[in-house]
Amino acid sequence: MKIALHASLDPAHLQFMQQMGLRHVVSGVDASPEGVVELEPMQRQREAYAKAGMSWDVIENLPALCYDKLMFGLPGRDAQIEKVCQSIRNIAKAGIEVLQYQWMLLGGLRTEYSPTGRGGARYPRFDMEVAKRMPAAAMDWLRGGGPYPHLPDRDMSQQEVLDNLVYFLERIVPVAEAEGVKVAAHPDDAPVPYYMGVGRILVDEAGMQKVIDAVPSAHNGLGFCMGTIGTMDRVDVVQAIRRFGGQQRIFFAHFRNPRGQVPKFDEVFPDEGDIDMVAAVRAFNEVGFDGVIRIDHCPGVVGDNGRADRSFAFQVGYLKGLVNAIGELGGN
Amino acid sequence: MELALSVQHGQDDQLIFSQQLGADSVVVMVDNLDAPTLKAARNRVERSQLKLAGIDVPPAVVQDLAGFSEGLRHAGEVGIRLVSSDWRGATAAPRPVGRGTALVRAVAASAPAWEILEEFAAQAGPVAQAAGVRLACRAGAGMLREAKRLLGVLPALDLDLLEAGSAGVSAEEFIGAAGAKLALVHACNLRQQQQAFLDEGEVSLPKVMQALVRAGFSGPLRASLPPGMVEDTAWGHKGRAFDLGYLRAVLQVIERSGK
Repeated sequence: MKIALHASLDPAHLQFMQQMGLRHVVSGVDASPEGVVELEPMQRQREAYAKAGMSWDVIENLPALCYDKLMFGLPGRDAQIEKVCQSIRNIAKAGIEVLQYQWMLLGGLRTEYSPTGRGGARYPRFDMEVAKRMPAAAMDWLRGGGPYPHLPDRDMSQQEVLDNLVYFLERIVPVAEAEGVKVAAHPDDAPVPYYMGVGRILVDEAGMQKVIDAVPSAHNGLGFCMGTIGTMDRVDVVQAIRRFGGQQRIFFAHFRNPRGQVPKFDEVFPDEGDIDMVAAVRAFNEVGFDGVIRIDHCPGVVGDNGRADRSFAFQVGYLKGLVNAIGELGGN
Repeated sequence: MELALSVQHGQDDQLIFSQQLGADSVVVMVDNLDAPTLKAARNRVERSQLKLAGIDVPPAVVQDLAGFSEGLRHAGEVGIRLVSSDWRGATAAPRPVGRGTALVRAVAASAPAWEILEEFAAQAGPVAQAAGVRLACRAGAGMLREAKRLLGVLPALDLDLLEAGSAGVSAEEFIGAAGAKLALVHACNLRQQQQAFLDEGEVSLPKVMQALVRAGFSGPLRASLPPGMVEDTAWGHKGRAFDLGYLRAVLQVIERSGK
């Protein structure tokens, strides 16, 4: 596996990653006002990473406003399809292999950054009871930037949300196949089946399998977020790695360890959560996963900077320790 | 085995940080051994809900042998059970030649001061024993090359993996030879006689830690002063976080593998 961080172009951040021995980065992209991810900015960004000795392997994520009409089934969705396909062609030309997207109509849900962690560390938290009292504010990771991408004006069933996704995939996956780009669906975080009357479909293993099966292709798969999948009701992450990795449908992974499952969980340090991370890395090895695994959200620690370098350093060291120890001491 | 961090006395954010990273214990670095300092160090650690593994003193403190012996008595009185002193000799200034131009230091060669060490051990050793304090010495490469003599002289050893690697000594074999005399281990790595990050050097931390577990070592394995990273503090918050994460993961692999 290739360990990565979400990278900015700040020279200090790139040097920080070099010092930790990282060679792979993940980044988001901006779309033009017309909703197309343009080639030239990606080429410039890729070149900047290359100068630092790093490979940009994954786009995370396709901007939601490139496909919001598709998610909500609104007029104008076919025009968005064309632009997403053009974006995929540009991504291929830029040499980036994986495009992750989030079919989360209401974004990522959190209700608190709670200073109740180890040594007073701040843990991102989701608690459905709290979310019911502040549904709009809990959207988009509690960033306070407003509802993401917008509030629903009617109820939508899980079937309707799935139908919209299948409509999307049937039209973009053939383009992705032709261009050699893998499209990876991030599961719904928090994995609750409904929020504000709107269905969320990637909330359990069956839902993830439906997305894979809807358009069978070696280019249609998952952004396997260990943290999100670990918070799905009664889901075992190690078994899920074996299931979806065994189908070669894990295109990209997030490394994160939660404590608890829906309706309430905390994102804790990787060494203290509910997932057996040793077994998880072994399972990734067993299924031959050789893609990018990005260190995901992390607890807030004392005196950290805006990029959370200290907390990320702990997590990078932790994942490297797992990989090296398993490699050097055997086991698989 | 405890995974430990070294913290500077009076730098209380380091205690909070250590707790957040999940350190099992801390070793407090003090610049003198007077009773109020030791009592304050102990209290601050305990009130942070951390375990005090021991204290660390610089070479200058050891040079005043009478004062040091008095300090050992103070340590015993306040319940500090492990004191480590540094016998590596002069260390080189760090240079930006590590991975990603991290600041690393070359391993400095210094002639082993056997006579001074023997006198120190002969005088301070019995004082420490009477005070109920374990007296450990962090030996340099020159001394580590003469394992039998070193272990014969020392009351207890603070094994520095950087110095061992520099000396061409197999840490795994040394751990077996040291047995119960091993009181502390400094986790570090080196590459071509330069300090390196834990994951990249010539020392296999997984194999060293496996040897420690097999030897039944129950003392602190502490992350040493890490390579200097970009926009980091002098103490090395980022580097120490990286190191403790690495060590925790390796230990979990060993424990869960039953190896």
